[in-house]
Amino acid sequence: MNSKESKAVILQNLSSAVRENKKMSRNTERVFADPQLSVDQSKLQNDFIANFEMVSGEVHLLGEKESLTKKIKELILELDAQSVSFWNMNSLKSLEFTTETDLASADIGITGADFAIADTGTLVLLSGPEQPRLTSLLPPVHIAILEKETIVPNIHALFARLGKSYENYDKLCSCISFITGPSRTADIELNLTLGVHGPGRAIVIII
Amino acid sequence: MITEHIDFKKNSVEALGNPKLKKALVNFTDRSRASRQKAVSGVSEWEELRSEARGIKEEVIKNLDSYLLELEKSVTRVGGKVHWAKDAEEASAIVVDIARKNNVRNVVKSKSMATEEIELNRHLISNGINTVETDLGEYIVQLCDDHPFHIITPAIHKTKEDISKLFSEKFGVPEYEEPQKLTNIARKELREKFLSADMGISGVNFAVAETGTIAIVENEGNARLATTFPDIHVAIMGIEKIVPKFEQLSIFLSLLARSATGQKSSTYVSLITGPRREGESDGPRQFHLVFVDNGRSDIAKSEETRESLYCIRCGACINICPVYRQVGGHSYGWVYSGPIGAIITPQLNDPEKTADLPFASSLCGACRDVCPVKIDFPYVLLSLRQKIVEETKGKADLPGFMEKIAFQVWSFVFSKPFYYSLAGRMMVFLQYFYQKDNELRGLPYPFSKWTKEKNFPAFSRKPFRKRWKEKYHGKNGIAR
Repeated sequence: MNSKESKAVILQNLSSAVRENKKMSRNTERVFADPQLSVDQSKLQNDFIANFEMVSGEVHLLGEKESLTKKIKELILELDAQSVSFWNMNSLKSLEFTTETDLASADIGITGADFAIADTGTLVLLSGPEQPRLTSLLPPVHIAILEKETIVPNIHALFARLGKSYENYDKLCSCISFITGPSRTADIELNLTLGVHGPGRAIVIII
Repeated sequence: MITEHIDFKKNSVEALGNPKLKKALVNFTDRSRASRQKAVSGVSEWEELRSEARGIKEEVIKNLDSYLLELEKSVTRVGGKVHWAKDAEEASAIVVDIARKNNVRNVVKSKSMATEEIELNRHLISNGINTVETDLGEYIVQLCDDHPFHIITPAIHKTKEDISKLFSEKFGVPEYEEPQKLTNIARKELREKFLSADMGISGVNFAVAETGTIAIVENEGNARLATTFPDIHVAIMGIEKIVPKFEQLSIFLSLLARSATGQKSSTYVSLITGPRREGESDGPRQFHLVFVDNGRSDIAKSEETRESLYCIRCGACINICPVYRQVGGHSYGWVYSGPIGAIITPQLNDPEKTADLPFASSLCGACRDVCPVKIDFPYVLLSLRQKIVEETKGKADLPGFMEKIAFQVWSFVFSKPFYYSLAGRMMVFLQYFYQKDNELRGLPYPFSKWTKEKNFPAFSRKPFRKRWKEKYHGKNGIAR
């Protein structure tokens, strides 16, 4: 039987299922993403930091006068990294490192973050021509640069925000990645270990 | 597919005789219950989220045909291809076919219960395609040629000594005991596999009908690698996995991570909408989505048991189940274990071979209380039991007949005060030979079936009614 015939069989079988109430339209934003909820940006930032650190993530807060490039160079030195791969971002233009073309051998991947969620400590990265997915995934260390204005209170607010920026989702990017700390597993006797597949260290610089 | 009768009792007895397993189970269930409880108590709107999620699922399953068509349209619009499989064989054949057409030699897989269900690995390997599980737990299970013990933590029945020995044998490394060292070895081995893979296979946690987006939830990053690195991504989903609207994902993602592992959020959630776009340097060039029915459309038709399809595979019911805690995952004989296994396995397989499973529950309802989509497990279990009893009606069934007689006698005696009190006095007399330390032991057949497993408290010489009267001297025994 080919896929087309199976489709007919499955649909035929399902059409006999009962349907007493017709489709309802549910607006989740109204229920769970309270617009009044904590718009205090400094509280959001503190919540994000606390939650990201709770899952073994590391956070650096950049002061008003501190230079991002300098901070990153310090980190690269500290991590003793030989090669770095990074997104093509304006804030990284002055970095003298050249992008490592072979991502698989890069020691650090540096990306931006399009959003962050305060109450779970989650970074949200959208894929695109200038924002490859593997930069935050293949190297053993991931550094993300987060603008504090992009932190939203919770996941419901995030989806409401995504909904607004996409209107009818025609231009939804091919991959949205939520990242909450470094790669982890508890598959060996429930012992927590880091870096099983993705980065073993996840570092956020908040600007 | 299940080919032999699942003997739950025999499997359980075997599991109970293994002290190492018992220790692992107690440790595991205690810890996962506690962490779930902690995560859930931090969400003030938890009950609202559950109700909302259940409402959405009810609606999806009732209109599943139109949602599947909508999802197919959305996936096609973003450049993906949808395949329909009515059963397990067909689903595997579709994947093998995609692999063959593209000359695929090496496949990396991330964890997916649907692929366990259709036994995809066996089909791929028998067609000469190297297939590697990349979730650490699944990888360990695959290296031992074993089956997953739990839908979230597949290798929880292996000790670190087992794993240390296994890795040493397979990779020629020293027998490391530290979990972090073992993890590092697995990273190195598996990274090689990812870099040489030409096809990645994943499951699907949720599929959004309006956008054609699939959500994949994980902690390790292996699903991200499997769905980003190889040129072809094939995602396998049970047809019940649909969520109508993109924004509704926030509800299900909130519920899933907390229910499954007690995390506020899993480490990685990937929302994938079609293959890579123009100008992108990574992501698969082909995206295939396989709809697997395999008995699900039949479940959708049953008013009583339809809610079995609301399940989001979090495993909370398994972790809380007092039966699972004792007998473990393999006793349930198939891919799904615990309460969800007890209701899903019989409905997706031959009901006769799986007839033990709906009885593998005390109906305590703890599973219903933790279920993020409020599946009424006791109700579904009872419906399935009823069906089994009805279907065996007419066949020569002595225990069923005896049970019926016993309950008729019971209802007669209990509705007549005279016979009730007479029966009580008779019991006091009859129990004489079986009584020891105020307990009944070793009763004759058919009561021996009970006393084989446990002792019963003996009937009191002085019945409760008499003691009550003596204590209060009230009229008709009513206290003053």
